Amino acid sequence: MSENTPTAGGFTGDPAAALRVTGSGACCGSPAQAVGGILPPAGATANGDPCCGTRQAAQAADSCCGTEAKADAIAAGQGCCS
Amino acid sequence: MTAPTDLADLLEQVSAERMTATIATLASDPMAGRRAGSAGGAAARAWLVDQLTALGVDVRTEEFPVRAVPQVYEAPTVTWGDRSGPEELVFGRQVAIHPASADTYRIRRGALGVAGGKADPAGRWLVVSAEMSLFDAYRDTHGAAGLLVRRPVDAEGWQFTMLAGPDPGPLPVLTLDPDTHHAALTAATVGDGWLAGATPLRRDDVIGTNIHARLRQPGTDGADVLLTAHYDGVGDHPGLRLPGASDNATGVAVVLEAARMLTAALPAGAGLSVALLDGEEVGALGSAHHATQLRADRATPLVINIDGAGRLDGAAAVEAGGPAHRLLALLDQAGRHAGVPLAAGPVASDNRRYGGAGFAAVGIGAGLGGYHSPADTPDKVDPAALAAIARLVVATAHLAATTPDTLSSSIGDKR
Repeated sequence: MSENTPTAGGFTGDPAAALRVTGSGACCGSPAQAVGGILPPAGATANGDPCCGTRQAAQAADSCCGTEAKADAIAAGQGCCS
Repeated sequence: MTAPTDLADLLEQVSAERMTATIATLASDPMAGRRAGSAGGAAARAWLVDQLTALGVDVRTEEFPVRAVPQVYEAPTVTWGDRSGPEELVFGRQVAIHPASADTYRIRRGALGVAGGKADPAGRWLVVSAEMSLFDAYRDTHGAAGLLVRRPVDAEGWQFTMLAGPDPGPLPVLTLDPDTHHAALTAATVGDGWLAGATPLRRDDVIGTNIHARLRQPGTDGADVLLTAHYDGVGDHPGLRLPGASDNATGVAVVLEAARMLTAALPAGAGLSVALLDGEEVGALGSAHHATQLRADRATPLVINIDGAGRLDGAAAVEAGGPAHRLLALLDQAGRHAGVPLAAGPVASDNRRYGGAGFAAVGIGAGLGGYHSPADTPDKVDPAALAAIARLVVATAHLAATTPDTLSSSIGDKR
């Protein structure tokens, strides 16, 4: 069997794009994938609050978490959303 | 290259029935939604240890601390009313407790007000408009009874539960479904309406526990594949089951099925291990703990994490982190072997912890039937989707073990 047997599977675009996914609403943990349209849009939580840190810091980082607060939480071995 | 088992033959052996049975067990009543630190989580863990032990390998568990896990310890009784009369709200559908709420056991009754409005907030339940964040709503809440925020519902009318979120504030916070929120905001705007409710939500410091099994030892130059999936869920509430079938009994079922098949099928020197992770729903703490251990051990596994394999509408989402170019090339090939379409997309799960720690890691998510709600039941899981993701994982691990490292990449192959 060829290692490159063509089927309908595999990436439809550039596989390396999977390395550039910016992520969804939570800065870690779930949600895994927006299904059913009930999840917040990318970069926002359900009510617009940052997962951690201040709103200004989160907005500056274009994330739901402030960069410094997130780094501190990760360094401490805690969830970056906790 | 000769492999002990032909890949096409191997893929034929994937059993959706076995995986469906696994999901039924993990989503059953005794597992109670498998929240980290709960008795249901312990029951799930004991069963999973037995499953891995049955493969003839040593299984070990690894504990780590988890702080302040939100637990609704009593179904809240919430009633509100306007000129049309009182209405008791249905927990889980019309009302739920926000994870940032203070813990209040006694019912607070107060007139409705509008958060950010001109009226004195003292003693009032303040309705927060959809445009206002909780952050802003807290600005003028002196003496308020609590806050009422809008929360979307899923197709079956359930609100979703989150364990990871902002730190608790000083006030009770209830979430209302869009219809109830609209009615309450309308009543509050005209100076009408009242609400009575409590927010029985405590936070417990618990112990999370990962499950590890080394199924095959890697050789000096052989690939070492680590299959991961989180087995914890957000957990049941009093009177409300949250089975966590798609999220993530499906991922665990896929990993168990792939491990069972690959243990006997990989060539000598190909490493294979499994980590069934706890604490994903509270901030991916199990994988954070494991990634730290792997770094200390100077291990270099290729990490494949599965989160959500209940439904495959189009392509499965793939998110990669760390030095994952070769792993992505293998996944691309595997997708073609297994007939599974793939697309770059967010898989915000344990894979991020491994990728962030510098390991080649991919997360694969194929969709959920009901996100963190009572609707996430086994009947929503599509056996065909399960089988497809299991074939994908088996093919990826098999190709990693049988494809020379010199294969630079199949990315860019013409099709």
